[in-house]
Amino acid sequence: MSRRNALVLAAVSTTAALAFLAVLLLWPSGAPRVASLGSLSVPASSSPFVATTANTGSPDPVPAATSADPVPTVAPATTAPPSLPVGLSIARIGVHASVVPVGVQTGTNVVQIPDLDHVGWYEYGARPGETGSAALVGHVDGAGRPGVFWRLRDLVPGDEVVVHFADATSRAFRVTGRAEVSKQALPADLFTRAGPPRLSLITCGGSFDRATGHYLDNVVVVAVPES
Amino acid sequence: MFKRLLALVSLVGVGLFGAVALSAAPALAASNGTVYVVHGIPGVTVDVYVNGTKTLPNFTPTTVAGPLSLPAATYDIKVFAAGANPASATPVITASVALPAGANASLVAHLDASGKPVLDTFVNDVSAAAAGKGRLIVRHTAAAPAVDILANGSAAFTNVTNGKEGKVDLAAGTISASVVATGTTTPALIGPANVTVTAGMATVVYAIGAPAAGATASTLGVVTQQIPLAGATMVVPTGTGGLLEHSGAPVWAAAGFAVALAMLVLSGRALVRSRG
Repeated sequence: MSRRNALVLAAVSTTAALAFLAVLLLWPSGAPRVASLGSLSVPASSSPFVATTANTGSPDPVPAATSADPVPTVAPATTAPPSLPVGLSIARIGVHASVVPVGVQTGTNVVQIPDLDHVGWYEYGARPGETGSAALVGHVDGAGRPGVFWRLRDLVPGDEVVVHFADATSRAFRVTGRAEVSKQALPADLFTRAGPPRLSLITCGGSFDRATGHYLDNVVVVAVPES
Repeated sequence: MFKRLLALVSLVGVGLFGAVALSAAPALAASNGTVYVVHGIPGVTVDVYVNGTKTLPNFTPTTVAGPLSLPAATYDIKVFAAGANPASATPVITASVALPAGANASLVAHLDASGKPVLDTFVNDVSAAAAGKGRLIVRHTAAAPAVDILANGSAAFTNVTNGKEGKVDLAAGTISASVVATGTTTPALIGPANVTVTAGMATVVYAIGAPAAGATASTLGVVTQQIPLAGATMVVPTGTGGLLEHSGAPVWAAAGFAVALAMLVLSGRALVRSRG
């Protein structure tokens, strides 16, 4: 190789090395944060109750009840509980999974998560469709491969989520919001039996902490029963 | 029965709204209180008037109305025997109830220790319970002296007097509960009865009525209501793969960097050789 060629090669390779190094160093670390689409609260959340006076702020809350037919349009929290959830389908992100009841790791507030391919239903909360929040949890990944909620972060308001029940019925829900929140600050509202019926779909996201082997955030998608 | 309760809830809602709307601008829903109305006086069907408006007509014993979301205010409540003319009849109970903003309360029409009808406001503790636990709240609203409440045969709450309550968080499940005179274990004044404790819920049991007196049979019994608790703060560990970190990762950049480095080394060696 001539000296001139070697010089050219050195210059080119130095430039290329610097360019590639810049790409490596400047590449955004971690997955982009999920933008919050609206809030996690469901439309009726201004009142966590289903009583008929929940709309006292509106100009015309309840049509004047006639004695003939005073039956309100919403039921109180005493409706019979739905059957247990056994399956979950989310067509937009290709989820067709079995649902199993989960509790907590003994003596902790850490929710048990089933294997990569199953969705867990938090059995100490509401059942899907019942008053309150029905929490459904699933892995985003683990053991080097994606989990059942790998693409949960791709859901947008309006997407359909279908829950299948043990009695062979099913019920459709519509996504109303999505957010990424610090794992340390997961809203307690996701685990209460109070408030309007809603699904809270929860997985992991955000930056990955190699020291602990866990993600720093949770991705939460809220869906409400289709009317 | 259920439809009838719906109708009652609807009516009380409309009535209370009407009463409140006339006197004050509605507060923001967020600061509203949550109210349940409990009828714990056996044998008397009543009409409940709130701020002069009949809001719970034909409210039957042992039923619970609500939850209602109401602005913080002081409510004037009168309870009449069903169908009585409020202009001329003497109310069974007259009470003024202050509902603080954001409060969760049960208004309970019941008998005091001497058998006189009263209206008490119990504030419901709806703070979060530990995961898997529910809250058992027992309220003494019967015309009886101090009692002990036994759970599965042993005393869970002792020396509870009329208008007072005992509460405990328990693992979800069913317990056998009975009410006895304080310091005793038999005979049971009420029960034993199975009480279901549901995770994430408060199960409120009211002892109501009066013991047998002369020719009058005992009317002791219970009313039960369930109230959802606030959620607990939970941890959801749903990823250990770290794959999100790599999605779209610039593998090509790493490869390019490696190739460029190799070329740099080659050219450097060529330069050195050409000099020599």
